[in-house]
Amino acid sequence: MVIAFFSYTFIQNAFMAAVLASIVCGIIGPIIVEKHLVSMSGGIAHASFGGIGFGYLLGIEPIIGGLIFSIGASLSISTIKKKTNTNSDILIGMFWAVGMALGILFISLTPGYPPDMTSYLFGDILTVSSLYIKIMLVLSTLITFSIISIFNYWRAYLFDEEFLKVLGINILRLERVLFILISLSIVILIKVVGIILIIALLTIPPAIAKLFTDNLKSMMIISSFVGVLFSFIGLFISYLYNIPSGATIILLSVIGYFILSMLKINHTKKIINYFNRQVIRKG
Amino acid sequence: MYDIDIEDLSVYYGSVCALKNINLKVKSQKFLGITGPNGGGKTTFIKVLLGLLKPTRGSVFIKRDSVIGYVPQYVFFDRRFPIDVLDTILMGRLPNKIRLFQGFSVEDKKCVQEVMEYLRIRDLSNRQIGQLSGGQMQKVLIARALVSDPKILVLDEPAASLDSSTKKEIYEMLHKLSKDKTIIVVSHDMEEIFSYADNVIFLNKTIQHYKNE
Ligand SMILES: Nc1ncnc2c1ncn2[C@@H]1O[C@H](COP(=O)(O)OP(=O)(O)OP(=O)(O)O)[C@@H](O)[C@H]1O
Ligand SMILES: [Mg+2]
Repeated sequence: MVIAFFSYTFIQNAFMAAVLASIVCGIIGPIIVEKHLVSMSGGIAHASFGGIGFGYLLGIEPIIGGLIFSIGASLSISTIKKKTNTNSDILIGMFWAVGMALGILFISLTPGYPPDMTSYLFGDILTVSSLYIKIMLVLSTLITFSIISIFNYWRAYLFDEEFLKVLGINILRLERVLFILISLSIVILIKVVGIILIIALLTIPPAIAKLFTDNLKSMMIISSFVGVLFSFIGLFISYLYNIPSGATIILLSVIGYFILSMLKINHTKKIINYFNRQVIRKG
Repeated sequence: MYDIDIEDLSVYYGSVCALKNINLKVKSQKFLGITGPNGGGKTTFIKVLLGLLKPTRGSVFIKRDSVIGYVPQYVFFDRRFPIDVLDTILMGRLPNKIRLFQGFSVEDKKCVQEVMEYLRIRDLSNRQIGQLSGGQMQKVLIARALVSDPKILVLDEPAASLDSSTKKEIYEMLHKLSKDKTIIVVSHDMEEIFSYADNVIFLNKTIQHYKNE
C-alpha cells in the first residue's frame, strides 16, 4: 500500500511541496516570531486574498495578483507607520479586512462561474501541480539564499536594529527586503496550507524548535525538520482517513508542541547547544 | 578639538517639545555626564546624537570619521532572544558595507576575546543572554560597543538597577576609558556622575546647569 501511495504524481508533488514549505517556514518562521511580526504576517496573508480575487477578475494567475497585493500591503504598512506614527496593529487590522473585502468583491465581479476559493483559504496540497513545484523551488531557493548569505546582519537586525543603524547600516533596506521575503513565503504557502492556516505553520515549528535550542541558526534548521516530519505524517494520515491535509498537519504539529513542551527536554537542549558550538560555529 | 558641536538644537515629537535651543560643545576625550528629571529629554538627546532621530531645528556636528559606540538601556531587550554572549558582542564588528557570505575574521574574534578579558566576562561567552544577571548583561552591551573601537562612547543609564559595587566598577571603567575616548553617560546616579565625569549637564528641555571641571 505504501508503494502504491507514493506512485501517484499528485502524492509525490504533495510531498515535494511539503518539504519546500517546511524549509521556507523553518527559515522565515523564527524571524517572524523573534521580530514579533506574527500579526503583521496575518495581515499580509489576508491582504493577498484581495490580489487573488484581482487575478481572477483580470484573468491572470491569481497567485501573481496575491504576490503583488501582499508585497504592497507589507511595504505600505511599514511606510504609513513611519509617516504617521499610527499603531501598526491598527493598520494591520485594516489591511487584513480590506484585503478580504476586495477579494470577495473582485470575485463577485468576475464574469462566469465563480471559482472555488476554498483552496486558497484552506489550501489543498494534493492539487499542487508540477509547474507550481518548480515555482516553489525557485522562490524557496531565493528566500534561503537571501537569509543565509547575510545571516549575521539578519540576526543583528532582529535583535537590535538601532545598534545596526548606529553602525551605519541601512536598516530601512533590510526591513524592505525582509518584508518582501515574508510576502513571498506567505504566497508560496497559500497553495499548500491556505491563508487561514499559514500563521500556524509559521509559528508552531519555531515554537517547537525553541524548546530545543537557544541559537537562531539551529532554530531554523530544527524548525525545517519539524515541519517536514509533521507534514509527512499529516499527509499520510489525511490520505488514509480522507480528511483535509492542511488541517491535519496543523493539528498534529500543535499536539506535538504540547507533548514536547510537557516533557522535560532540558538535557536535549544542552546537547544541541554543545553541537552548535562544536560544529556550526566552526563551519 | 571638539568631537561634538551642537548648535541651537530643538526636537519636537508632534507638538510635544522634548528639547529646546540646545547649544553644546564636547571636547575630545572628556567624560560628559547628563542628568535631569524623567521626561527631561535625555534619551531624545542621545538619539539625536546617534542619528537615530532627526532634529526638528538646529544642527548636530560630529567630528569626521569618529566611530560612535552605543550602549542602550539593557531593560529594553527581549532577553529570550536566541543569541549567546559571543554572538552578541561580535555584532559590534559587523562592517557597515554589507557583503554576501561575510564571516568574522580571526582579528574580529581576537578583538572580542580581548574586550571580554578586559571586562572579565570571558567565561560567559557561551551563555544565552537570558541567563545573565543585569550587571553581566550591561557589560556584554558595553563590550559590544567597545569592539568597534569607538572614539565616542554613548551610554543610556548604564548602571540603573545595578548594585552599588557593580555600579562603581562600571563608572571606574568608563573613567579609565575616557583617557582615549569621549564618554557620554546619561544617568540618575548623581553621586557617581559628579565624582567621575569631567562635565555634567542638567537637562530639562533646555540645559539648565552646567558643571565644568
Ligand atoms: N516617541 C515619542 N513620542 C512622543 N513623545 C515622546 C516620545 N519619546 C519621548 N517623548 C516625550 O519627549 C520628552 C522627553 O522624553 P525622553 O524620553 O527624552 O526623556 P528622558 O529624559 O530620557 O526621561 P527618562 O529619565 O524617564 O528616561 C517627554 O516629554 C516625552 O513624553
Ligand atoms: Mg530615558
